Amino acid sequence: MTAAVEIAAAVNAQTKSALAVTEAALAAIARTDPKLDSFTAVTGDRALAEAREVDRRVAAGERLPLAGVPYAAKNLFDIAGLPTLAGAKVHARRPAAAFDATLVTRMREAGAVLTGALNMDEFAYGFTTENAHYGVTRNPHDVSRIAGGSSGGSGAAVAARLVPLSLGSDTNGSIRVPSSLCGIYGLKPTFGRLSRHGAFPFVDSLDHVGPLAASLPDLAACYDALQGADPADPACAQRPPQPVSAACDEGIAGLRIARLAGYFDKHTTAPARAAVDRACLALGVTRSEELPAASLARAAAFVITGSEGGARHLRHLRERRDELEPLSRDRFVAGALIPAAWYVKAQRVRGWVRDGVRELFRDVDVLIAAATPTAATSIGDEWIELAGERLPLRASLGLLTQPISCIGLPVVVAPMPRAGQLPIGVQIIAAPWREDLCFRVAAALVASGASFSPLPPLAA
Amino acid sequence: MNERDIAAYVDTACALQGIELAADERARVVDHFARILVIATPLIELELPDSVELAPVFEP
Repeated sequence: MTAAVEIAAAVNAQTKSALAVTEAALAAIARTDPKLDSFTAVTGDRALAEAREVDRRVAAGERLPLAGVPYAAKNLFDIAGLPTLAGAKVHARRPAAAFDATLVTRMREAGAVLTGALNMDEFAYGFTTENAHYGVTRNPHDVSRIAGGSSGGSGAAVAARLVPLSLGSDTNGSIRVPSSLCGIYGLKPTFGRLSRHGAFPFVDSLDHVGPLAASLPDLAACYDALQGADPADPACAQRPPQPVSAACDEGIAGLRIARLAGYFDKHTTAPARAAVDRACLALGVTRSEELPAASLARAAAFVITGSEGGARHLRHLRERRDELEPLSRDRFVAGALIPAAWYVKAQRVRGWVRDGVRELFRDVDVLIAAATPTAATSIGDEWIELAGERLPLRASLGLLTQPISCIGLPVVVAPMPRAGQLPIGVQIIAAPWREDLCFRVAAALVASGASFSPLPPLAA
Repeated sequence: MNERDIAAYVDTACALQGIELAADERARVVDHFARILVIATPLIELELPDSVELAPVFEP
């Protein structure tokens, strides 16, 4: 599978048809996905119809930024004609969605072709995509390991080059964790940047949606196609699009970049620290900063997630608990019991941390940290040791992502591969609404040769 | 709060929310709640200036 920007150029130039590209993608999915379980539905008929429509539009003179680019969406996005599973068995018999989610519509308008829906942790409450109902999504670099989650299907499908682009959601790290473990690029934009309309919610206060891609130019092209205000999502900022594709060429001269120390160093294994070392070396970063109250930000995100998530699914917790994911249903119950005073305090802490981090961004432009404490762990693993402490693995994979999303900062994850080792990524973090800076620094890492998406052996 | 207090809270709060737990579930929920308490304690105990609001609209 070639890069999205190359496919779009070829389809726009009519040297390749969207239909031929789509047929090849569907064949690759049919051939390889049984080894990965990244798709929960393949929308073959729809994909072929969308591809024919793209070819017709191009023949009529239109030029489309994602012309004929196959992609797939985490199965919490509404896809007209399919029930929106959000990873849950209790959703399997819901009526089919009548309309596409806003982002799915934007992809179609940009000429992209939907090939299917992707696996995830039930209701997005997990970092491993070990789903009791729809299967464990496997890491294309080592199928005995997890792909990360909760957008695990979105990570694995792109890493295996079944599609060059996917859509995911990120409440506490669910785009960034699979991007890191699968060795691909991912964007968690600023809170409120992209419309969540038609994406099944998990935690209203923290939910973000965004793209994953096998290359940085593809990630930028996809993000640019997704941007724009949407009155249907009350949390979506009414801002005009701020495209980043051109920003990737601007370089990093004059940017003040620092490595996040303290909390972020403490919660990493040696391979994660080495990835940050390589990124800082490539960028010439020698400065370190601490994120104010990182541990409290993580605690606030944890409490807000438990409380809002538990409240949202209270009826299922009362009436259909035996049909829920065994790995998360007890956590959902515990979350539903959190006293309101703790939740309110967590929301105030969130505002307080945000104010402190705004101060930090007066003096620095971009922060670098590992995206996950470790590379991909084995399927079924329950514990991880960090800084001499034995911690539950499934919750701890988000330790480095949670404090950042708690206050809605934009992050690009860039893979920092090393031959013979499992991939791992770094977070490139900027001030709110400055996705352009994340992309400029990621582009510098790509230009240095330090960052690229490694091709797994089973890639299509 | 000790484990017995947490278990008593879980029982009462579940009754209030209309959730009936089997014995094995109850033990796991108590564990999870104890973990939430550990993580939340520094947050609960933090003194914040009165001016820090729960923003009705969150602007990062």
